[in-house]
Amino acid sequence: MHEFSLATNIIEIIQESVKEKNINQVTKVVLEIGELSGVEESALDTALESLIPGTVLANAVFEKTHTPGKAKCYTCNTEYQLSDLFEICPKCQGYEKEIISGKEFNILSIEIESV
Amino acid sequence: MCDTCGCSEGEQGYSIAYPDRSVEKVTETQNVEFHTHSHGHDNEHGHGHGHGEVVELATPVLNKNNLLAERNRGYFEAKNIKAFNLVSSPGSGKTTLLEKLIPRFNQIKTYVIEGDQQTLNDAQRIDKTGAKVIQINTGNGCHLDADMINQAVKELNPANESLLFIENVGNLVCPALFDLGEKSRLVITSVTEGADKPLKYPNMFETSQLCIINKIDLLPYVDFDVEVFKSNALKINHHLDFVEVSATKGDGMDKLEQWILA
Repeated sequence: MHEFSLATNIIEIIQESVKEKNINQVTKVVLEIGELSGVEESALDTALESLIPGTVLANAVFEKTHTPGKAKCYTCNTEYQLSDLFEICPKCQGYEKEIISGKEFNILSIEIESV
Repeated sequence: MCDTCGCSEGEQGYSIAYPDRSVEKVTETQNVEFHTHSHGHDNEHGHGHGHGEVVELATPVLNKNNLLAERNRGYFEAKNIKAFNLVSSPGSGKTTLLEKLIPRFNQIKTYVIEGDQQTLNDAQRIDKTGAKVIQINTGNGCHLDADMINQAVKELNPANESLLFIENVGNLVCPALFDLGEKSRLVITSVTEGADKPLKYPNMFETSQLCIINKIDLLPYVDFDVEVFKSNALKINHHLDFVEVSATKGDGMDKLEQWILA
C-alpha cells in the first residue's frame, strides 16, 4: 500500500513542472501504467482523490494508458505478451526471459489552464 | 495522513535514531503544496476554453527516488562499501540472520540500517553485535526509500571498504518498487511460509539477486518443498541465486558469508 507515496510523487512532480508558469489549474494528467509495474490502480486512485483537494490538481482528470507486458524468451528469442511475471514462453515453455515492456510508471503529460 | 490507507492521523514523517536515542532526527512529511484558491469556475473541465496547454513531461513517477538511489549507489561505489538491502515478510528471520552473520565479519567494519514502523528493538539487538547501527522508524510508512537511506548514511558516516546491511520494513509488497542504491537485494523467505511465495509476490523476487531460504532446521516439521519453491522463484527471476540456511543453527551460513564477500 505504497500508493500514497506514489500519488504524492505525482503531485510533487506536476507542481514542480508548473512552478514557473502562471497557471490556474491542471485539468488533465496522463499517466502510463505498465501491466507489470506493480502499481495497484484503484489504490492509486484513492490516494490521488484524497491528496489533490486544495492543490492545483484539485479538478484534474486522470487518464491512464496501460502498457502491456512483453517478454523475450532467452531460449528461443520469441517475443510474447504476459500479464504475470511467472508466465513462460508459449513456444518452448522456457521460463528464462527478459521483460522488454510493461514496467513503466510515468507521467506522460498534463493539460493546464492559464490564468 | 496514514501512508497506507489515507486516514488522518496527524502529519508525520520518519525518524532516525541510534539504539540509545542519542541522536534523534525527525523529518517532515513530504512536500505536497496545499493552498486555498477560489473555486469560482471550476465546474468547467477545460473543454475547448482556449486556455488549455499540453505540457509533455515524460517523467517516471519514481524519478526522485531513483535519482537519489543512484547518488547513494555512487557514494557506496566510491567508498567501496558493499550495501545490501534485506527484504522479506515480517518474521522470516532477518534480524536474527544479521545477529548471526555480523560476528563472522569481525575483520571488516560493518554497519546496519534498521527499518521498522516503530521501536528501536531491532537496532538494540544489532547493537549487541558491535556493528554501528541506526534505526529508521517510518511511522505509518510501509517501506524504506532512498531519501531515508541517504539521511541515515550521512549520520552513520561509514568507513571505506566496509559492509552495510539495510534491514527493510517487513513487507513483501511495497519495498520492491524502491531502489535504495544497494549493491544487491536479498529476499529472505522462511520454510514456514509456503513454496508459492514467489508467485504471490513476484515483484520482490524479480528485483532481488539472492534468495535466502531460512529456518531449514524446521524442514522435517513443515510442508515446504524446497525444489518447488526454487522452481517458482526461477520462473519469476531466472537470475536468482539461492542459499539455504538456518540462522539459529548455523547451517549454510558459510555459503552466505562467501556470497556476500564475493
